[in-house]
Amino acid sequence: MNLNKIIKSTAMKRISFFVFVISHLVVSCFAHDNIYLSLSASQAKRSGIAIEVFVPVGKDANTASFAKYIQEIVKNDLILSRYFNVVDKPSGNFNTKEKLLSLKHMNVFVILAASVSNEGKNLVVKIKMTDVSTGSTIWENKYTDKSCNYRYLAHKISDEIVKRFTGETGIACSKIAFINDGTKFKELYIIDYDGHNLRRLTKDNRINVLPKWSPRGDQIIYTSYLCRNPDLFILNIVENKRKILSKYQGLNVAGSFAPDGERILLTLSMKKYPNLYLINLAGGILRKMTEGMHIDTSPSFAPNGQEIVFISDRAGYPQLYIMNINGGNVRRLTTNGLCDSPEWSPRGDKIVFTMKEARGNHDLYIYDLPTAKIIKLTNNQRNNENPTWSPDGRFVVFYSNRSGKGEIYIMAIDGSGTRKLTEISGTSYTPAWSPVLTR
Amino acid sequence: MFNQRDFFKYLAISVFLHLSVFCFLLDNGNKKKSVCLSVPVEVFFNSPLHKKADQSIAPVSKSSNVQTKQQETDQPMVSSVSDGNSVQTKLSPDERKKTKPVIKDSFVKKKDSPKKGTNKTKIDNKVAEKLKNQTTNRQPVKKGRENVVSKSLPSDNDSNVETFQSPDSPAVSVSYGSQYGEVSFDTKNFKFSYYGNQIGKKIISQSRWVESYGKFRVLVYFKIHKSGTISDVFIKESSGNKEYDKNALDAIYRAVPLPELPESYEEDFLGVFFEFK
Repeated sequence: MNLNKIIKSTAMKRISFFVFVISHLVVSCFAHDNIYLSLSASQAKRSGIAIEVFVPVGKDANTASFAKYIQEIVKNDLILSRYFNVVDKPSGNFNTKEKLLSLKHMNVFVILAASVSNEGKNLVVKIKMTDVSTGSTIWENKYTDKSCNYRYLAHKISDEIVKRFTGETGIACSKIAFINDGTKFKELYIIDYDGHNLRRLTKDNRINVLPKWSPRGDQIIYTSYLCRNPDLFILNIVENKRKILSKYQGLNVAGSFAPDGERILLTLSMKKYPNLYLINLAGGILRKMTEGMHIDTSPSFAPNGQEIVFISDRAGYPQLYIMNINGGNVRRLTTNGLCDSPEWSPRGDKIVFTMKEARGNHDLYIYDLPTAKIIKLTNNQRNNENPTWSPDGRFVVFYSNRSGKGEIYIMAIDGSGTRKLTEISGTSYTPAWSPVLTR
Repeated sequence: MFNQRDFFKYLAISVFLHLSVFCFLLDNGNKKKSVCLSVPVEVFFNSPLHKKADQSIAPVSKSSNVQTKQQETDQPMVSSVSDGNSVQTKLSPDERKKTKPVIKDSFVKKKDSPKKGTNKTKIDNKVAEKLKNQTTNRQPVKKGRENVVSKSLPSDNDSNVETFQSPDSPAVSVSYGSQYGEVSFDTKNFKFSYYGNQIGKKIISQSRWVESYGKFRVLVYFKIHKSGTISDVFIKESSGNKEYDKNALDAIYRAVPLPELPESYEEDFLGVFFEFK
């Protein structure tokens, strides 16, 4: 009899579970639908570009595969840049007016053609852009790479296309540093912005956290427990050397470079309350930025180097503050929620940060400085934390556990076009987007 | 021990529910869904769309079939609107705001000319003469502007709206939010249609004018140099509203750096007429 009851109750539970699942599905599906309604005018701003098949010169099988890879990478870059509507165009004689017109009707303004050749050990790519309506050449260029680093070569090509079209710098040559615990320990990794070319930088079997790039992109600072104390390390990824930058007793965390690359802001506890300090690259303290019996952390410089944004709990709970680099003029930006990890946009007009409201998850927000408005970027998708800007200030990379596992995502700052960076084992944390690199 | 009747009842219910979920998912799968699942947050950075954007009438762009078609295929967003659900009805005013400018956004094609042809005869001689007089004063403008004809277009509520088109370089029209712009060049030698479109989009997206402030039109002239920098920005024809003139100039300065001029264009600079309306 008892067992019967148990079966009944478990069945009831199951039914209620199903009802819950269904209602959840219904809600989430409708929620997805209404997302599309809000995707905004960015689509209308895109311009059409047709990519011709990249032609390999010679009959070398390697060259043919390089041509194919480079075309794929360039196409992907142009799509990810969200400036273009990319159309595939078969090779052949397209000078006939009818065919050009057909492209024009597809709203395509330019054609990209390229040839790939292997001269000795150098990989040579010749790029040519043609205007659809007149058939005249817009520009031609030749790219060579000695080490056959075709991926970087392709990114460089896409960056130049973006630059020629928009006047803005492209971000295809950037990388993202992050922490992953796939090896059971939190190690530092870097990966291309398009989710390829994953590389592990540390093998410490310890905890490494909070990486940040230097403005020139040759160094990464992060906090490591290698010496059983959270010390700030600086890793030169060109020479592949690292050293301890700051090893004061207690916390040496949340380091962040000044735009000149010569100074670092970080939180030191020094047996007292964790406050902000400005140090130089030798580790010497230049100035104590904040004073008081409260916690100040997560600093980030404005691109002009004159102001900083940071988190302080002087109000009783963590809030967003701005102050001058010389000290003083402290202003509070937010009034509610628990804020964390702000970063100043490279264009200087926005600050992205994480906030947790009383009954919610951690979500991404943007503080728009000219209008003093706070804009919510993520919603109802579990926790979204640790945002950092792309070098052009049009995207953010962030941590989210929306899939049930901590992973890195990239989204445009109008809240659209979210994509997962890559699929790797283990949990990933605290991404940091590099400046545009030259390697 | 086992109460079989109950068990089968619950089993049947659970199977039914499974099936319903499965059907629901199947049905859902049939809808075209894109990968991005982001947030229903409206973000306006440059020109916040105003309620009155609904009423705005595009004077120029009435044949945008080709583009709108592509927009629809590109964006599942548009198709999902037609699926009736409660959320959609709630948000429909927003949607109207959003889609309208998308549909209006168009590139003026030769197709238009027969439509406009009826009005071509009504050339406003005064304005054309005035233009000619103005252009003779300025050296760089002189060359191409002789061909400029100003003609009045049919528009429902504003008869002052005009477009400037020279036969050699047809004006490119662009739109963003409730703002429209037209780009034309002062030279015949510039044979790149993509460039006008590119700079037009970039400049018009920097305009922060909301239509409820008033409807005006202003013609601005500026030079673009090889590297994408600009100079000699001045207002050719004022709108009569200082704020609107300033907004137009600000939008142009904010859009710098503009894309570099094509390499095969031999002159050092390109004179551009930009019309805001």
